[in-house]
Amino acid sequence: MTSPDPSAQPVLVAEGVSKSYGGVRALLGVDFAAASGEIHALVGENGAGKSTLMKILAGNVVADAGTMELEGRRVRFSHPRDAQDAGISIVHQELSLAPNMTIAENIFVGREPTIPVIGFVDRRELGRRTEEVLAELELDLDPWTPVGDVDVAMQQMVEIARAISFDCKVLILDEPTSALADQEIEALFAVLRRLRDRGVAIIYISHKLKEVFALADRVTVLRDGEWVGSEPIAETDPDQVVGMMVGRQLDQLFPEKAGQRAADPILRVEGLTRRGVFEDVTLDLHTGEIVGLAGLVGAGRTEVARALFGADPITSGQVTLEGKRIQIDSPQRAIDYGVLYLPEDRKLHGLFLDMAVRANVVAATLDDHSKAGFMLPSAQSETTAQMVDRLGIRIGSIADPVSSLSGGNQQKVLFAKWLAATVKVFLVDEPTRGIDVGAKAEVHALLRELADQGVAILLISSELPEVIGASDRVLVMHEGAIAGEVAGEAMTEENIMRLATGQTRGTHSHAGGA
Amino acid sequence: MPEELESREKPGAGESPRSPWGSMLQTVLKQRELITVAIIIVVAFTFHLLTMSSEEGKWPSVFVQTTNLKSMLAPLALNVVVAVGMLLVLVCGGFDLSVGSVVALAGLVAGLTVKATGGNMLLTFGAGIGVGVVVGIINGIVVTQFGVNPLIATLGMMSAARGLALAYVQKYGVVTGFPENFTDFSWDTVFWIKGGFIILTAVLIAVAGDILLRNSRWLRQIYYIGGNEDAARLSGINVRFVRASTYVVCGALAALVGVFYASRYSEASAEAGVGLELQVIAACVIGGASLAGGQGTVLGAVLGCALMAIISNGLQTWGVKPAWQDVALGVVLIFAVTIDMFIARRRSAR
Repeated sequence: MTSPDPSAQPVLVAEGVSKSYGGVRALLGVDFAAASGEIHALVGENGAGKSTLMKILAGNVVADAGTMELEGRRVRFSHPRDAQDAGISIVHQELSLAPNMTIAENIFVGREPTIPVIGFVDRRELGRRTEEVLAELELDLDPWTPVGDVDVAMQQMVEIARAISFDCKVLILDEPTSALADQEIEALFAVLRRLRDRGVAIIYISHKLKEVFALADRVTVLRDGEWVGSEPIAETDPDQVVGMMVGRQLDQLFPEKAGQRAADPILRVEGLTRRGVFEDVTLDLHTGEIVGLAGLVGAGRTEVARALFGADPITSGQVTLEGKRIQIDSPQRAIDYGVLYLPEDRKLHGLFLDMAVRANVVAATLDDHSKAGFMLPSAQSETTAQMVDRLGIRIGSIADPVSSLSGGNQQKVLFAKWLAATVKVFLVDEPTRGIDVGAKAEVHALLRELADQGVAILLISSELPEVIGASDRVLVMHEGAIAGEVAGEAMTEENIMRLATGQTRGTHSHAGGA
Repeated sequence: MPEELESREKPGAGESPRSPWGSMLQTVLKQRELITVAIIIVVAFTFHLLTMSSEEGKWPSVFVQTTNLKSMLAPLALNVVVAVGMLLVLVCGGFDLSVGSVVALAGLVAGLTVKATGGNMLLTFGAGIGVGVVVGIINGIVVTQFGVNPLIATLGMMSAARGLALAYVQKYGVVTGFPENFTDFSWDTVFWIKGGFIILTAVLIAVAGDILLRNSRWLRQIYYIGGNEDAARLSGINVRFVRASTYVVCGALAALVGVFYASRYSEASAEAGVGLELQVIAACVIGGASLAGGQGTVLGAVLGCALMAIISNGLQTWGVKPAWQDVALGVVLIFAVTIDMFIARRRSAR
């Protein structure tokens, strides 16, 4: 490889790291080095081994083979606490804070300063140290605020504050922006750059190449548990990195757009309002088209879809399906009408993880799989086998619990649950979240296939390339209202972001239907 | 398929190596009922050994004497009936602490009805079970419509129903002096067993419950709800109605047992069924039901009841004082739940 920036001193060097889980290889002979004063991005598809590598560096997991050196000394961690004491801290994707405890208590949990002899917590000293740490991050927070009272972005900062409160030499962040809005991401980046300039080595795991190229100084790519390459960010570009991640040049991730939409809308939504959440949402969906619904986190996209599905109540508004006014006040009603919703969080709202694949597939169509009140096992198995075949779900047996499947296959089971029903309007919320590139392409192809078969699809996605690549036109929400629509040539990230951030309003044009 | 490894689960997840022994253990552990059966056999054999008379291993021991075994059946049957109802509530992710009080209140109402009607069994059963249905509907509405935690809702009902029965008894005394046809049916010999009617009823209810829970559309839904309530709702399952229905069935079955109690003891007192709720919940859990919902079978609940009955009877025949029997049952319960936690951890470690 090219020699690194001479000013960058490798503070943490891992060599030949291997790890297997019960015969399945997660990492094989991976070399990795992080330098002080450098933000080092680690990218790769799901399952590439990023998280495993970080868990090993942070002492959460013990490697099968390989060595680690911290500041030139061989180290071996058997517990996260060992790594923390040595100066390696990790901020996990899921925040691990106690919401009812104060910021100070969360930062110094387990190592609160105590008053000698009596052993009570020394609140003065605790407050002082907390203020010190917060000041280092230039955060204006009261140490005695309960963590649950500040927003997610600030909670993330508290996590980082905790991490650096351990005289931190290496800070690892695992997908830190997944719950953050754009301005918050900028604030986070500012903090990370400041830490870098102070000489901390930052390892930044992300799916989002845009962030990587905006923030990192160097990027390392893993694929299938192996090291693929490591490049200074200035000497590479996103296409090359994507190529390294997937091992092939991605030219056709999205299926061709059809644009064969019907003349009359199948679903017409007028003035849909849920007070305090979204207001006066008006949209048309035609059979045969995929309409993207873009917007920042909290813009109300999921809430609109849930309301259309009858999962949440509405304050006012009209819904017309196939020319008839309808009222959808419960998911049952929606399913009867053929208006289906694929939830964004499949584990929380979609799947029955401990139940069999078969039970999951028929969950929404129990009526069709029963007769006179009794379930028909053969009909269930038949439907499931069909779906497994049609969607290419990789399973051992239809009696296996869904929890034993990979993320992509779980997502396909979720799709199967709805495809077993009659679908006219399909509201899909983040259908490719947390699944790998190959499975993503399959999901996109499936959506297009459904549209071609006469289904109207509303695609909610936070990934702009996906919204643009998979949709025929895109509606953009901003603060609970539709800010505008883009179609055809106008479907660019810039135009969508402009609408999503409220920079342009009222350009609700129906021009250019592909 | 290394994708699975990138799971964002707790650190250290999935690290247990898979040996052939591990997979065999998994297979056995999947059939949760088998474990209960095995424990029952071991426990029963132990009591057989413990209660053999001093004359050199004389068969039968006190424990396996036909009269002793037969004497266990009717009380076991009564618990089984309540346990079937409780199991539905538990699988659906709920709780019903009011069953013991329902037994008392329903027995009281049935007793009053049978005296007032001069022994009309249809009206008596109707009135008794009606009490359970009403209590179940109230429980169901409070839990599903008002969103009160089932523990609190049914705890309140437990106190209120028992209080009602107590208020009546304190004012008018224990209800007794029933017509003969009412006191006799629960003791009559059916199939060579005294009290065979109750046993037959329990068997029918358990078999019907098992079949319905395995195959009926209505009761399959409770596994979905117990497994993931949000997902069930978003799959179009009427969570509120189905969940409320489990409380109604549970109340009705407890009330039926209340009528049986009144008949067997020839009186309806306010103390009937005290502590029954805990015994029955314990039996369901021993039989594999999860307090988190989504797991449990009628067969398991029946086996759990049987194990508890055997332990309690065995200790009694062995001469252990009732207080110590409670201690033993408590230990068994904790042991059973510990095993389940162990299994759950293994499962989530995949």
